[in-house]
Amino acid sequence: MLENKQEQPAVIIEHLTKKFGDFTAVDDISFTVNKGEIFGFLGANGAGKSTTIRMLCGILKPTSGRGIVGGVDISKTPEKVKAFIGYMSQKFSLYDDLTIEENLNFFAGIYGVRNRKEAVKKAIKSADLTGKEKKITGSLPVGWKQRLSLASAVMHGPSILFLDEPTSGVDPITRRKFWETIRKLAEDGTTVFVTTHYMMEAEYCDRLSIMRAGKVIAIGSPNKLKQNNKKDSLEDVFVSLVQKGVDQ
Amino acid sequence: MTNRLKFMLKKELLQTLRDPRMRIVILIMPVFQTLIFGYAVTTDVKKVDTAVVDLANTTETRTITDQFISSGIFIPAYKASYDEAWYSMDQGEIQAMILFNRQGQMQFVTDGSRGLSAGVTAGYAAAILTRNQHPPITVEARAWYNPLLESRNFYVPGVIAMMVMVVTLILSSMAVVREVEIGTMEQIMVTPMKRWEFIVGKLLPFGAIGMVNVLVVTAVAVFWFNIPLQGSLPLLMLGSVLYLMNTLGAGLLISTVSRTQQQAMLSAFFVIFPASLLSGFAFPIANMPKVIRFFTIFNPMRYMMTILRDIFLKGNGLDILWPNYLAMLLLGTALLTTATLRFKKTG
Amino acid sequence: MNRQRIKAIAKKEITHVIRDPRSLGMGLAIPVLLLVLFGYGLSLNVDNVPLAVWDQSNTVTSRDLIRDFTNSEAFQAAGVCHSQRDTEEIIQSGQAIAVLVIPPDFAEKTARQEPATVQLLVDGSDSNTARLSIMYADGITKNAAQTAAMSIITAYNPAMDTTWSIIPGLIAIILNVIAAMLTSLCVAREWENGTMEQLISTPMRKGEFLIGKLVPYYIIGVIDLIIAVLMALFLFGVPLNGSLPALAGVSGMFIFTTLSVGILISTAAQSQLLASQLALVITFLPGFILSGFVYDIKAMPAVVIAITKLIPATYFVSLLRTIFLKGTWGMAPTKELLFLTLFAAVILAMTMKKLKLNLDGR
Repeated sequence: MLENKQEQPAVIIEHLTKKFGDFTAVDDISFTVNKGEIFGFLGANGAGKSTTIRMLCGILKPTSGRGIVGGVDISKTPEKVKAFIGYMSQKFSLYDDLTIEENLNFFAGIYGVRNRKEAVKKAIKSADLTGKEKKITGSLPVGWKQRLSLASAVMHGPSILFLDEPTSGVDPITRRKFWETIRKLAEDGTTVFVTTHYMMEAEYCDRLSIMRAGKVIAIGSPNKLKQNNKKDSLEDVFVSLVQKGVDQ
Repeated sequence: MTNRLKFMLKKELLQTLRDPRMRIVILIMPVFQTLIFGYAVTTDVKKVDTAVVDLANTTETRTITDQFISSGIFIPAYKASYDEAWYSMDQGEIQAMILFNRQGQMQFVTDGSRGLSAGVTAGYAAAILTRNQHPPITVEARAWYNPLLESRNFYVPGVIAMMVMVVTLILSSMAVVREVEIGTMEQIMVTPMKRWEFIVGKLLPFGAIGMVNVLVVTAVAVFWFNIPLQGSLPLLMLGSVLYLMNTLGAGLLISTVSRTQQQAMLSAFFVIFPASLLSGFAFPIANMPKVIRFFTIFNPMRYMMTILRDIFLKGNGLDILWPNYLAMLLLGTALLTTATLRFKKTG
Repeated sequence: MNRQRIKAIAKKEITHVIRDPRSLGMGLAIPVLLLVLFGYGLSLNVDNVPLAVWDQSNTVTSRDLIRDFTNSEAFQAAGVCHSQRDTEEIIQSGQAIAVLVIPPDFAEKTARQEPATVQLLVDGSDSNTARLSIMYADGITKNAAQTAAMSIITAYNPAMDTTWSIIPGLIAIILNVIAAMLTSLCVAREWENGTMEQLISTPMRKGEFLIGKLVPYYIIGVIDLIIAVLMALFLFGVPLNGSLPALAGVSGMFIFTTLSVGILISTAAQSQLLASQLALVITFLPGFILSGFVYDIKAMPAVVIAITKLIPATYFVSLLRTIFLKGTWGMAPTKELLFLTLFAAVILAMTMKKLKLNLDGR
């Protein structure tokens, strides 16, 4: 699957840097993500994962460096990127006072989804929320909200999907379903860029990158990372790599 | 003061004043507005553009016109015909007309669409017209407290009451509802903090901000506008404390009955607007119909207005003003108690 | 501009409004209640000024004069004084606002046809009431103020009914605040609740966002306006001498202008607390004090006049009075309408500039 690289990669990052005042959140990172790949993003809290994703989504301006998403430069025309990506932010950010159906209808309208009724129905079914369309979103349990967010983020058929900790606060059964959905999307050609804290989930990724203090300190397939670091589990890889930074 | 309360106070002050724009809005803006309003609040009428149409054109009519002009209030614009004069008034170019027909009969016309100033203009005209009659009785008028009848002296102290309410009511009405909406309330509810500590911790910083407002705006009134502060400053401060009990109590009450900040804001406005207009600031309470005058009994701003004006201009003391203090104390206690009780239920 | 996106945003915004019936109710009920309250409650006329009397003459003539005073609409009897101290106390306590002092020789002088002088002591702290009281007293003693040869007419408002000029002004002041408040939270709320982050990851453009946001509140503003105008006409009997299209056009533009101010506040503030504080501070007191609603703009100093010219409510107060009472629609109102349009354009341009569809402004 990895060899299928005749086309341009979905995401190209070159020397991407983001500073907030004196603080460097993302420090000169470079890598590429291929089309149809599930790309995992690991790192301790505050390592710069969310900042990177936000830059790639065009909602945060890079301080320097280049980011090409789907062939579009994120610094020059961020609004063009937004048309073919889907984004699910770390914090639930749909409208609490709207119903499930109204939220989906709204985003379908914003993305200009054709056959809106059909698409919304499908999204509700995929999120396993059939029969609950008229429920007010604010009253839903966390797991449902996350399912709704994901359904909303993929409704318009984005070619690249950015998921920022999509499974935090979600029960194991829902989490498994989530990953089934993600894998299915990838099989259909969607590139999935996902951050997580769960090593189990990291194992599902085609490739991983580990961030520490704004820098990418390791990148490769789960197996390769384990081999390179001579560890049996990803968790050990992660702990040893991130710990090294703390010791220094 | 308990330790918890101290931390709560600190947190509230920090949160409120962290945003530099907020500091400007609640601390600098009132001063700035008082400066502008101080110059704006005048019921004097000056520079009345006046069309003059004199079809008789006799010595007599010209003398009367001259008397109007020499008053310095009326600025003449000579027109050839009544129609022309009326057209100018329709256009809003003039606010009054002096019309003499061919027989030399005079009509003085004011623009009645202009409210208060129309009446004042008419009054001036009447005064000028009767000045040269030699009536059997003359009135010699003496105005106490404000011999020059400066409207500014009357209105600027009142601005303090309005400004303080606008600032503190909004702050306190959003205080609780904001924590609930953002979700930090849940966190606070599980701490061992007592209800009264929470409420005092919430309100006291706003009260302090309100007092700073009172002092600063008073300073502007005294030092910039030279409005004499005849009475005692401590008494004024005491009144302000009682007044703040009311605005903060009302704000907290709104906060406990609102679900969103939007509701809180609209409710706050719903209190501020009537409180201001029914306080006697611009519209005399004595002229209001009985029912509405009855409503003003529950308006703390009404009492604060009296206290401010009487202390500033008359130098009155507690011996005369005590009913106003008492009314604010009672209203404030009632508001704070109701709010605290309501808060218990929602919590 | 994508029509479908605007529609989606507007629809969502309307749903927000409907989901919060209390806010909607208040948005619609506040203007009605305020208009009723103030339409009946406010009067700029000064009448029944409490008048105390110190009659040192105590004769038929002096009592006649007192009766002339107390029988007039301007004054009402509020006590009797017997000494200088009495007069001071009665004014200081606020029991009387004016004291008529008739000297001992009043009756003799009048009998001898000599000019007599009475004193009017007034509480000058309320300068307006004081000045009017003096004028009234002047008028009463002169009695013949209006001879056959001259008359004073109040144009457009012959009965000198101050509700006629208060109501149009009041409509302007109320709409001014309500409209700004309606929109002042609508952008800040999205930032505070975090929904903005999702929204800006979509291909939505600034213009679409703003128009979509404005539409629902514009509808509410127009409903407010219609209710207010109907009340003015049928409840308070204010005549509509001008044309309805003129009224609709001017008001429509004004509501748009003020909604824009609200949306600029909301965009710039990003926090609901700051936004509401700003909305009220910027619209309420300036609208009340500087718009010409109560205080005559021409009597203000030049600098302040310049500031009043920057407040949309100033134009709306004057336009509404012109359209309701004067019924004209000529050159001057066109200028004012032009200003409102220009003002809205500038505000919206500033909003477009302030509005960042990314997280960098945070």
